[in-house]
This record gives sequence, C-alpha cells and structure tokens, in this order.
Amino acid sequence: MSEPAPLDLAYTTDPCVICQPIGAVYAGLGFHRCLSLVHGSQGCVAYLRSQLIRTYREEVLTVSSSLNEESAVYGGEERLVEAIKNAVSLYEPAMLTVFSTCLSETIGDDLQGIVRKLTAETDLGIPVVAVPTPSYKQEHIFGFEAALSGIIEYFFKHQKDASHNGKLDDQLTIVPGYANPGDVREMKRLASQFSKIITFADLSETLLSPRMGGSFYPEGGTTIDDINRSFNSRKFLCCQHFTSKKIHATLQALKLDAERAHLPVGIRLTDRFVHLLSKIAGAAVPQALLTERRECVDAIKAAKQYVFGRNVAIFENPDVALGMASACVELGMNPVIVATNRKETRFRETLAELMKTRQPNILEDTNHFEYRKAIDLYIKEHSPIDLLVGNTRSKYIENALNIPLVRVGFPQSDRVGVHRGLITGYRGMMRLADEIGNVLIQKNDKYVDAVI
Amino acid sequence: MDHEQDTFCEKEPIAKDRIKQKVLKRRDEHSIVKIPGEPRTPKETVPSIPGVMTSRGCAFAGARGVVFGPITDVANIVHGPIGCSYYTWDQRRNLGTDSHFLKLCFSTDLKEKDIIFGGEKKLFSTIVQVAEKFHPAAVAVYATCPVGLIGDDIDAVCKKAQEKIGIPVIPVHSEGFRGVNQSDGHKIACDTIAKYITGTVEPDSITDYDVNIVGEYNIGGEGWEFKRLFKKLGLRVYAVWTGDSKYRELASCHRVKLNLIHCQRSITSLAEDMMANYGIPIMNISMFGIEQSMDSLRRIAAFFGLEERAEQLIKEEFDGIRSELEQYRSIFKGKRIVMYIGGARSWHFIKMFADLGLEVVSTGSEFGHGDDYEKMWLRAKDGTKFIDDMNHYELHEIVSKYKPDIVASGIKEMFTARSRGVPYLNIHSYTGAGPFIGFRGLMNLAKEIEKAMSIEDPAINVPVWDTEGTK
Repeated sequence: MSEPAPLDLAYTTDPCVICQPIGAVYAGLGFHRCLSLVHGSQGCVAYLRSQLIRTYREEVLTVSSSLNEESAVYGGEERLVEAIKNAVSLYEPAMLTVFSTCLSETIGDDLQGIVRKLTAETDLGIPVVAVPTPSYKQEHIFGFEAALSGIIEYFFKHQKDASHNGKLDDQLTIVPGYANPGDVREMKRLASQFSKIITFADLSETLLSPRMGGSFYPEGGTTIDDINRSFNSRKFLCCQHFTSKKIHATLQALKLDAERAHLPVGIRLTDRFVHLLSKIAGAAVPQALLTERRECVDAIKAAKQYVFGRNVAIFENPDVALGMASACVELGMNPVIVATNRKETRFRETLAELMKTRQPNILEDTNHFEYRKAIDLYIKEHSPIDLLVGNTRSKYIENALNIPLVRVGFPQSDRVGVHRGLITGYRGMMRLADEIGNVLIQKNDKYVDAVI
Repeated sequence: MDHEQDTFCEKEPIAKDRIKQKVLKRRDEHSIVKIPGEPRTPKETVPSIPGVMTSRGCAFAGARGVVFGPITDVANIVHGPIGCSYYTWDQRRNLGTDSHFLKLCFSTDLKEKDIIFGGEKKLFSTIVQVAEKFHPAAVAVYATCPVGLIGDDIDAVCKKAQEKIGIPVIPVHSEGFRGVNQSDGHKIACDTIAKYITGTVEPDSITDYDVNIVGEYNIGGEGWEFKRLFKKLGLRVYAVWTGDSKYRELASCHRVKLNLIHCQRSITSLAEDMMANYGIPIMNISMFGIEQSMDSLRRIAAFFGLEERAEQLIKEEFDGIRSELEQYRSIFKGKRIVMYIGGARSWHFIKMFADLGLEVVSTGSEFGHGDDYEKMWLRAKDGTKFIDDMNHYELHEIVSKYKPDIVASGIKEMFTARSRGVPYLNIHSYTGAGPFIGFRGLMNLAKEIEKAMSIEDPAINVPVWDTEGTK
C-alpha cells in the first residue's frame, strides 16, 4: 500500500451528493399512482424515505425487496420477484418503477433481465419499468435522470413503429427535471400560458396537493395516458440545462424534437425561458406575464438598495447554482464563490457569460468541506462574505461563521414550506429578492425604517 | 434498456387476491390482542416480507446510527458509496456538548473501480488522512453492503492504520444486509465495543457511587437529565452509553459499581459482557413516567443504601410537577393512543402515557424481540393490540379501525397519520423536544402531546360555512 500525496484526498467529507435511488424514487413520485420498489437492503428505503419526508412533509410510499444475507450469497432474484408480485397485489399501483442499489448490483443481480423474465411469464397488468441505479456509479440527481430516461424509453420505444406520420399534436411537453415541487408548479404555470402542456414528471401535483382523507396514493401526477400522448408532442422542453442532460439525450436518441433551457432563476434566465416558450408557441408574451415581470423588476429595485455590493457564496447543483448566481448578480451582489456538486462541460463558460466584470471562484464536483475552506480563504485574503445560498447542509457554515443562509435546492429539512418554496420564474425572483433583501436588512436592523 | 412489452404468447395473469391473502395470512402471526391469562407474543425477529412497506432499517443504521452515532469525539468513517454516509450524517437526533464530530461526515465514497478492484487502499489512506487532519480520539470504520461482498479485509486495514496513527481504529462489520433489522446492527456494535473498547483504559479515579447509564442516546437531552437527577441522589454517572459520551469515558468505565440499563433492547449484551468480564452487576431501569421513575430510583437507592435521599429526591421532583400534572391529566383523560416505535420504548412508554391519563390501545415495535413483547404484555391493558414490524397498510387499517386520538411514531408514519386528520407525536426523535425521562421529562412530553393534539384544529381544518351551517 503506497500512501497518496497529502493533497490527494482519498475520501469525501461533508458531501453535497446523495445516492442514486433517492433521486430515482423522487422521479417516480411525479407519476400518477406510481409505486417505487428499491431492490436492496431495506435500510436504503428507510433512509431515503425519511430524507424525502423531512424535506417535503408528505407521505412517501416506497417498498423494498428487503435483501438479506442469504440473498447476498445466492442472489436476490427470488426476493425481487416476490417483492414485485406482493407490491402489485397489495398496493395496486398504476405503474411500478424498480430500482437497484449498491447491494443488488454488487451481488450481480440483472435487474432488467429479472423483470423481463417475470413480465414475459406473468401478466402483471401494469407497466413495470426497471432502471439500474447503483450509487457507486452516480449521484442522486443522475438517479432522477436515469429513472425518467428509463420511463421514457419504456413507453416510447414501442411507439416508434407507429411513427408520427407527420401528425404532431399541438402540445408541448415540459420536463421540469430535478426541482422542488413549488418550482415545478411555477414552470408549469409559465409554460401553460403559451401552449397546451404535458408535464413530465409532475411532482407539483403529487407533493403539493393536499391529501384527501386517507387515500393511499396522492391525487394527480403524470398519468400513463399523459406519457403516451406526449410522444406526439410538437416539442419536448427540458427546463434544466445541466441536470437534464441524460433525459435530453434519451429524447433525442428517440428522434424527438427536444430542447434544453436553463432553469429559469432570476429575471434574465426567466426572460430567456419565456422567450423560448413564446417562440415555440408562436405567440406573444401575454399581458399578465408582462405585468408580473414589471412587479419583479420593482422587487429587484427595492432589494438592490440594501444588497448591492454584498458578497455571496453559492453551493448547489449546477443548474440551481448558475441560476442563483445570475439572480444575485441582478440584485447587484458579487458571487465570490460558486460551488457545484457535479462537474459539467461548459458550466464555467456559461457562468462567466452571466457574470459581469468580476468572476467568481468556481469549485466543481466539490463537498462542503472544500467549500468551507474556499470561504475561509476568501475571508482571510479579501473581505467578509455576507450571504450563503445553498441547501440545509450549508447550515454548519452558517452557524460557524455567523453568515445568513438562504435555503435553496435539496435537502431543506430544517425549514417548513420548502415544497412550496419558489426560486423559478418572475414570482420566484420576487420571493428571492424579498428574502435576500430582508435577511441582509436584518443585519443592520436598528432603525424604524429600513433606510440604513 | 430493452423492455419487452406485451408479447403474443399466453401469459399467466397475476393472482392478486391469492397473493394478498397469503401476505395477510403471514402477517396475521405478527399481531395479537392481549387476552387476560393467555400470555402470548407475536411472531418477531423474522425477515420482513419483500415488497411490503416496512419501516425497518438495516444493520448499518443500528450500528452506525444508533450505538456509535452519539459518541462525540470519534471520527466515523463509512466505508462504502456516498449515500450510507450522507444518511447517517447528523440525521438521528443526538445532543452533544461538544458536537464537532457529530456534524462531520466522512466517507470513502467508493466508486465502480473500487467495487471491482477493492477499496482497502482507499480506506487506509482515508483513516490516516482523517486522523491527521481532524485529531479524533479514535476512528470507527463501518462496512456497508458492497464492502461485505467485495471482500475488503477491514480488520487488517484498521489494524495497520492503528499502528501508523497511534489511536484506536475500530472495524465495525455493519453491512446493511446482515440480520433482519436494526437490532442486528446493535448487536454487532455491542460485540465490537466489547472486543475493542471496553476496559482498554484504566479510569483516573473511581468512587463507590459510580454508575454507567447503558443504552441512553441523549435524543432530547435524557443523558443530561439522568446526570442531574443522579447527582441529587448522590451518584456519579461515569459514562453514558453512548449519548454525549467521550471515547475515553467508554473505554475506562469497567470499574463502576453498577450498570443501569435503560434501553434494554439495543445494548443489553454489552452490559452482560461487562458483568461476565468485570463483575459489574446489572440493573434494568425505566425512567419514563412517574411510576417507573419512582420504582427505578428506589431500586437504585437500595443498592447503594441511599434510600432516604431517594425519597427526598422523589418528593422534590414530584412536588415540582404535581399541579401541572393534574391539569394535563384532566385534558388527556381517556384519550386513546396508537404507538409504533423501535424497540424498548414500545413498552417503556405504556406506563408513561398512563401516568398522563392516556390509554395505549395498540403498540408495536420495528425490531422488538420476544422479551420486549413479554414486557409489553405485562404493562398493557387487556384488549391492547401488539403488532410486530407494522407496515403502512396495517397502520392505515388500525387508524381506520381504532380511530385513535393520537398516533405516536417516527417520521415515516408522520404523514400517514396527518393526512388522515389524526394528531401525530414524534417519539423517535421528538422533533426538537425532550428530555422525556423523569418527572420534569413527563411534563415535556405532556406539552408535546398537547401541541400534537392542537395541530389538528377543527376551527382551521373545516371552513366556517361548514361548521356554522345555517346559524
């Protein structure tokens, strides 16, 4: 065993990534009466359910194949088949999504093979989509992408023969991607002002709608009919540039007209998003939305008075980080550190284009420990940092350095209302301007009027 | 991904009803109703049925999360892919005076190439680097599911690392697939502690009134309440296993006079081991609720000859809450509660709720063993239902059938209750409340119950036009 060089860290401290199955299960939650089954140790399901419930404050239904020592030695096929049959019989889902784990993948279970064999022998009466999601390969957001891509491939592959025959429906299918339900709802609202839309996967309905007296599944969500109909959509719009890459590629591989937009955070990226929607629909931006934009401009002006020139450090996934950096620049702030949890081609360039003169220190595919080091260094060598933007895990830095944290992304298990919490669209920017403004006003809040 | 959709060959349609009946029949053995004179326990400690929505966790959760998690100066390195480490990072509520290490998360972050070629080198470097950079009192290394399969020899790596860094490096074989639930993880942790930690350091000083609290994880500050009460009694709490504890305390606690076991599920085997090796007697106690607290304090006092002080303490503490208690009793009188929790608290809490005038109509445990259900039997009223490894469907059924005034359980059951309009009380991590032990603790619990019940407010839940009608 040779020892690595001191700077070549062998380990990860305070990560900003979780495992693939949690993202995959989150994707499954966006479909109507969809149940997810995670093929692995039952701890995987217990942990990911707790994590999702803590943030979204809704029931999260997921089952496990509960692998044990015997399965680890002899393989988990038997228990997986039993789990599928039991889940289908007991919970009567409209669709079953099956995901693998580190355990089942290391055992060597061929998830898709097992499901294929079972569905060839037994008519389960519902679609069963199997997607491998070992955590040692990718992180949670990729799990989300893999699950959606798996569902797209499952339903669209056999439609290929039907072909479009040049007949395309009027509708637009939007793919909001890995976003909080409040933002999914906002992107839906924006898009539906221009086109008839299908939302894929509609997390806003399943995680935001109030549960009605004891029904097992939540109301709403993307239905199988929606999925099948969406095949004839005029266009597929992926609302996240970096974290929907795989979904976009899957759609393109199926020869569908798919386009990627940036997550509409801040006024400029929302403008681009709205512009794109307007071009797709061939319709002008409705007056109501223009009024909303005007309101947003006013909110920015009001906040800018108090936040201009302040330093901000941002840590989230590439799409949220880019959007938040853009929003902060619009508020006149200086993003001095922008950190992301995965490395993406052209992230740096895209960010550089959005920044004005000053360029932030960019950390890609990093963790909270490295992020903290960068913050400490900046404070030591330059000037104080006034604001942190990131998920709940940034709170250790918030507490240690006494810098306020505006929470965005996932998880946000230490605050209520996260599922409604909004960063996208003009409304999201209004909320951000208000919150960031107020958080920074509070630091100097000694007067009756916030005149400072 | 090539899924074959409907093929043309004849396929057997799934026999949903038959499968459902089979599952329900198997689950039948896991629930019983207490009938006087017929002591029975439900079937327990068997693997959960695949595809049935259990709340159980894994052995890793039991070892890393429950037993080792609360130690404040040990660096916990999770040897595995990133998820396992993330989920145990400051997630289970364990209060700590110096919480530096509780808020750090170390993972070897195994990738595909490590799964193929092994992760031993990476683990060794991780241990050495973490020790050099963070200066923990000791390092604990946890094996996760894949590690058990790829054949990493974590014992050897830990031994080698310990020689290099000069602090204890403890291998914990907590692969998630081991056993049937968290309980197996507790056992693994206890065996590891007995093998690597207990008795490795001699205490600086020891008195005739030193005790250990075994099985108290300081979820809501219970360990601190123990220390406050015992100080008044004239006892010194040498070590708390493992709430807000330090490695040195745990390693040198084998000379105390008595081991008091609070959580009698997770950690009993460790106390038994200390009895066998160091002759420390064991006393099972329960400080939940007035009756159990008084009984425990009197038994402890009798052991040390401190009876008078105990009576004085009980009087003082009881007087402090008496009027408040009466108020709460009148509010809660006759309210019915459904309880579902991990292990020992499934029976500890029965009498505590009774002290407040509540009636437990059903209780159950994620990982209780036969002895837990026997204790439940002794404490519960006739007609109480006991359910082992209760699943989502059964909770739904029991809420519909028993129409309880409150469901007391963990986070996974929270919205199953709330979405059905039933008040919910978190008795896993206490949602920021606690401590719940002793006399003052009972009042903390009462406040939480009052809060839980007020959350379901008809004045808010139902619109004015529905409540006021044509008035």
